[in-house]
Amino acid sequence: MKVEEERMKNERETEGVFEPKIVGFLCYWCSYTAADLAGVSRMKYPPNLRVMRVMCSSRVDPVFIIKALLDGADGVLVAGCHPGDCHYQKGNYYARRKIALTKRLLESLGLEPERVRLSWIAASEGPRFAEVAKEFTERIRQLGPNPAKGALFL
Amino acid sequence: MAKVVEIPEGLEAFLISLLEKGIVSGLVVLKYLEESSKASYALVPAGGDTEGLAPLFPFMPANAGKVLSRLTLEGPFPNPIAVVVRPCEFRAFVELVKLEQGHMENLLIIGLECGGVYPLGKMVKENVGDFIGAYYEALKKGEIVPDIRPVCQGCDLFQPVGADIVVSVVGRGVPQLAFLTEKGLDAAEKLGLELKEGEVFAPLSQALLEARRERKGQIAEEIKGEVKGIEGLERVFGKCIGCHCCSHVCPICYCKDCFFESATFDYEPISYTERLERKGTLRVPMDTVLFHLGRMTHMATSCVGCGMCEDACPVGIPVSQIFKFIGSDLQELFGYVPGRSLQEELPLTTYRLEEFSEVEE
Repeated sequence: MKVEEERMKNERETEGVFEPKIVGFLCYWCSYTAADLAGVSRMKYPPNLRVMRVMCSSRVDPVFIIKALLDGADGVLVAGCHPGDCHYQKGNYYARRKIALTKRLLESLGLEPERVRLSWIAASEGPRFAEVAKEFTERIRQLGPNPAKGALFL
Repeated sequence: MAKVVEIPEGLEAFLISLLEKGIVSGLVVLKYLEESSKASYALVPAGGDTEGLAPLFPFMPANAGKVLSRLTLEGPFPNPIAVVVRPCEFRAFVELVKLEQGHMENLLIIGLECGGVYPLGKMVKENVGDFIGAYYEALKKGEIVPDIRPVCQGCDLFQPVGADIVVSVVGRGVPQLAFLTEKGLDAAEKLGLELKEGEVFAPLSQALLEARRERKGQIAEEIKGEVKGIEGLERVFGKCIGCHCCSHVCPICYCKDCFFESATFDYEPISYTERLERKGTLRVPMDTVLFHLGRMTHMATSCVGCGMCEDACPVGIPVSQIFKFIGSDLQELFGYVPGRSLQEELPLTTYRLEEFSEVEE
């Protein structure tokens, strides 16, 4: 994050604007490369996404998502190769099932499935990565802070 | 319609005749420990001690699916073995076989039409003779037995699926056997039983099914209201002491190295102090809710709702009701019924090319 952006963010926070913290699991082969491309192309997107690189979107165990949410992350983004493009042939199909399961679980428990997002971002789609980051940050900003953040007995 | 026979001399006598005629070389069945107040699963060989077999004893000291998995983990039995199981126990075993934790070969499955089981505490703390009569009375009338495990009260899968021989007891004065597979019919022939055509289940079984379905809806609604939201999770799981007994008795939780007992969620001291700054107070040990929700994502698609976890919980969290009814939402998502068929793939080990487009954004 650039120094200037950091300064602006801190300013907004002191002004009482809610700055979401979003955990992003990006697949090594596509989405992480797209983030890299967005970076070297100097595209602008909100600095709220904390990126974690995984070798495949299917590596993201639903437990990781729940862990992030219970520990106070305001949103979780999982991004991988488009269906059919997985480096490991079918990893992203499994990932899709895991996300579907996680979202349904959150829904059944009366939590907020909107805080979890699955997106397919190819390595060449730098602009799309920036767009997804922007959109998702905006959505989470609208949702407000994760209520789990203050809970002591989780 | 199926080939059926009534057994006025009781299921125990039928089991012993299976052994005596050499149709099976052993039984896996509940057996009384002392007099007739406590029982445990036992592997009884031919020529072994067949005193005090208790196939219909309404308690589940262990999920038989887990028992069978332990017995057949390294390979199938070399000789035929008859096993007497409740439907949820058999379904658990089917799930375990899919998870490569057991072998189905050489088993003669005798499935009980299940009236439910009492919480184990009742076997240990109370006099079984005081209420067991009422149990069989209620079954005869096709009613939900009072005081059985709450998940049993809301169980609509009490009629066995996939069994070779079905023991029907609901709505009957005399138990009836139905022989549904070649293996089952073969056993009947060797025993020289005179079979007639008949319905597998009594009409009152259908009445019980409807009553159970209604109760299931009620419990599901209640329990979902109870665990709703972060407050609900804190209230319900806040009591958890982290003993993990629920996962230890769970037939589906077979992992030798459980994720939640690993060092995955151990942190550096600095991490704790940072959390403290955020929250002001920290509950220790941490991650109790994470354990339950995480376990749910790992096994709830295969949860058979047997109720073992709830019996094992020392602080009275309605674990099995939560897992069964939240789990059934997840099972529904994939159109999956755990243990329905050995051919059906586990939801998270398979996929379709086109599905769940609603989660792609």
